[in-house]
Amino acid sequence: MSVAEIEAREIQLEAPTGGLWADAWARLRRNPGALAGFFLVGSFVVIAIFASVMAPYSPTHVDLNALSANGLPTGPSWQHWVGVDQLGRDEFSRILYGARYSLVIGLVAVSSGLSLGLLFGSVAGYVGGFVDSLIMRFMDVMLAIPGLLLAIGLVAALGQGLWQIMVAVGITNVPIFARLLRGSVLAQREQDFVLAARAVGARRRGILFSHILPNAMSPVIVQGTLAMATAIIDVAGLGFLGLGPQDPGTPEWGTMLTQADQYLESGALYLAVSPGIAIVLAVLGFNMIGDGLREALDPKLRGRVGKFKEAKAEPPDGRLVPEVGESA
Amino acid sequence: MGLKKLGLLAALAALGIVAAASASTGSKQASNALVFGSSSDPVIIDGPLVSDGESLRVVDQIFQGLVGLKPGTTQIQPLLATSWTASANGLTWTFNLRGGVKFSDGTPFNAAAVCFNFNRWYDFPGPLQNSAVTYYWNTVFGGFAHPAAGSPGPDKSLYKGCKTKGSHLVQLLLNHRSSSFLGALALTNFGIASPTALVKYKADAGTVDANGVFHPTGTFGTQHPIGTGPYMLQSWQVGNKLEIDANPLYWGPKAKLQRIIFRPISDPAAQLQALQSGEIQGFDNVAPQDIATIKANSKLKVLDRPAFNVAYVGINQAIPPMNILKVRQAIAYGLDRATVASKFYAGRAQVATEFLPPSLNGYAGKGVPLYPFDPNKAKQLLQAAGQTLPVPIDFWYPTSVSRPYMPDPQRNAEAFAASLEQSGFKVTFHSAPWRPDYLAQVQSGKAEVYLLGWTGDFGDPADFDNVHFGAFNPQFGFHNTKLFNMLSKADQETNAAKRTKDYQQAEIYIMKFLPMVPYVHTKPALAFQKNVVGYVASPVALESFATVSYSK
Repeated sequence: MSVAEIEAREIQLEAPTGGLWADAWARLRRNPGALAGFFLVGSFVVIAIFASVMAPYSPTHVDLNALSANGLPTGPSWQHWVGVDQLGRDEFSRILYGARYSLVIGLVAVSSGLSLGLLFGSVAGYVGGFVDSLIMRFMDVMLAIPGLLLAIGLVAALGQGLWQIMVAVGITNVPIFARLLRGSVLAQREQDFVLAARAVGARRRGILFSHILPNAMSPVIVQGTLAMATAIIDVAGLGFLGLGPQDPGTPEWGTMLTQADQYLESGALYLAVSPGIAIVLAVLGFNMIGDGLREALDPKLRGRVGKFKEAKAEPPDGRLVPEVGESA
Repeated sequence: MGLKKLGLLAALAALGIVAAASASTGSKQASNALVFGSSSDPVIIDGPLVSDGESLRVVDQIFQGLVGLKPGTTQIQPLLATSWTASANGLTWTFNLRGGVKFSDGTPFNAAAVCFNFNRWYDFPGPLQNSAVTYYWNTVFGGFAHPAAGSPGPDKSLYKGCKTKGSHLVQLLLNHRSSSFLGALALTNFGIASPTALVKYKADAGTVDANGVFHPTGTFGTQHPIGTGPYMLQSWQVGNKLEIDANPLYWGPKAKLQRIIFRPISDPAAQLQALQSGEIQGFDNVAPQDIATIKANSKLKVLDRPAFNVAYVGINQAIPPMNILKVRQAIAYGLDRATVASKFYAGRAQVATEFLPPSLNGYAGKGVPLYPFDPNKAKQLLQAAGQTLPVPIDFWYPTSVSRPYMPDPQRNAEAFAASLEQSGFKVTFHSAPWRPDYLAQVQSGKAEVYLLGWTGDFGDPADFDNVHFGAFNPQFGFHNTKLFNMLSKADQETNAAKRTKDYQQAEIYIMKFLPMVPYVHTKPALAFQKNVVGYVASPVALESFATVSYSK
């Protein structure tokens, strides 16, 4: 396909649509991966909210009599669907409550990282010059330290606890969002509509907030979803390394995983597998949504919902990207 | 290079290996090394400055005291002293020292060296007088020549002085009679170090921080611990490995293995895996649930250690409301000790009802209050003490360690916290790594309620009761003159039957006063590769590696 042909096709495909979000939603609906992601994350959120209703036991109810005669954790039974842990606590209830910790920690960490990143990134991108250099070099320094390592250092410095974990994971997210947003703002800043706004005398702050930021948001949303997945892994990783919540009885998945290792030898494999599966499913869900959103929000694909079908038969898997993406 | 040549080279190389191997077996396994999985690094390799088993394990290979224990027992036998006599009043002890003994730096061992060591301990500078640093000197000898503010002075000291009578005769002078003095001298802590090395490597230089952790500026305890033992320090990389080599100047039968390597592995599961894979040849304090796994493996074996310990929940009376007896009683009733003992120790433990293990003279057996698990009684006691429920308590436990009496501290802590929360308490956890923070913080009185335990060092009740409750101890935070006097009277008693009776009464009184709640006496176990021989498990949990050998 020649460039001219592509351009001709772009023009032909450009058609009135329901706007960015409606288009995105329409595309998402046709993406089975994204739908599966929505299903996983939806269940994750529902479990997190209703854990207290759904769990058959309190996650911190210690029952030493539920252990075997040798004091070993016992496997799945009618009373305890996923067995009990080393203190006779119901593993299934702990997994359910664990969703709550992962979700809350992940949300707080990502949203705080996102807000700060947003601030730094947009200021750097829009103001430019010395401020830009100063902020971005600082972000580069932070990016130079691997995320989990930075989080470990922060928790070690701040002490163990839920808030400390949120802060640590949040801070590791700041430079990622800042960098992303700065790039996005820089690209938007030179667009014609910004020039037009400036020409009619709009104020700088007004231009930034009402024209540039909304248009720069879509990669941030994609990154936010993916960051949720990373945050859940980071939180579990901190827990696994013994830097989890200060109360070792907290049903946090990573902490549960690390406590299971002493009982693997004696056959309690399910104690490691069950929090492992929970972590994998939650992370997978967010990743699938993130990937789906990335495709759905790609401005290059804008307006290609209705007409594309007429122009060319939709690929069987419902994804519209490959061909255009390859030639572009 | 042709194939033939390559083959020839390979054959030559193989021959070389065989030659090297036969050379090493030829020289009586001289190049053999054994890797032992320790649970953590030593705090420092200097006997008087440590009190934990992992430090003493290494110190015991390098240093020797005037007397020692017969392997596998708590009987006292000659070591650096060949014989001794006590004066009629029990205040002057004369020791005949072994001749021809040299420290591993080549300097001679003699009466002057003995006096130098005793005076070093007695003259410890202010910071080292902290009972978190010099635990044993504080608890056994009780006082310092130049006490800093708050430290016990010469008036509290059992030790009075040291006199040399010729090069191999030494007299130790005491301020009062003590029946456990000789036993105390058998402590690994009071091993005799080379005076030259102590001075040269500045053993006492350094600072003690607010948590009671000693930070040396000299290198004696970290690089140059020089003693008379069968081994000497080769190298120590904290967190990686500690190597000791056979001491060529050793006066006794030479160590069978040239090198012992201690690898710190804190996780019991990882220790077991390392043993199974052959990475280590043995480790201590096998988790009770793993014993069946090891016994089922034809290449491994389990060595049982006689029960000679106590695990307890310590209570610091300096932190209110722990000064109230009813609150301490509520804790005793609020701990489900029976279930923890039966579930967490795989049949290798019995519930402790008093501080002394049952095998020791002075164990009361009857007449002690038992405090069975009773949450309602605990709540009533708290209310009677005028407390509003739930009563908040800080509960401390160590991480990255397993002790003979406590294979999995966190699990114990969580189980006890659950039963305490049923009994009207609100538990906040605090944890710290065993080395060096946990012990120091507990021993300097920072912890309100905490998990700890004790393995006896010699077969005498004084080593349990007097060491813990015989004088003010910040760890327990109480001044109880009645108890102090009871124990010092019991220790000074020379009539064995009367002495036992005195200790029995003290035991009953201790359980009424509740400075801590004992919960279990365990029978610890070691695991080894089956081909390791010569390791004699001792009740005091200190074994020499000099007699150990193994065949490939």
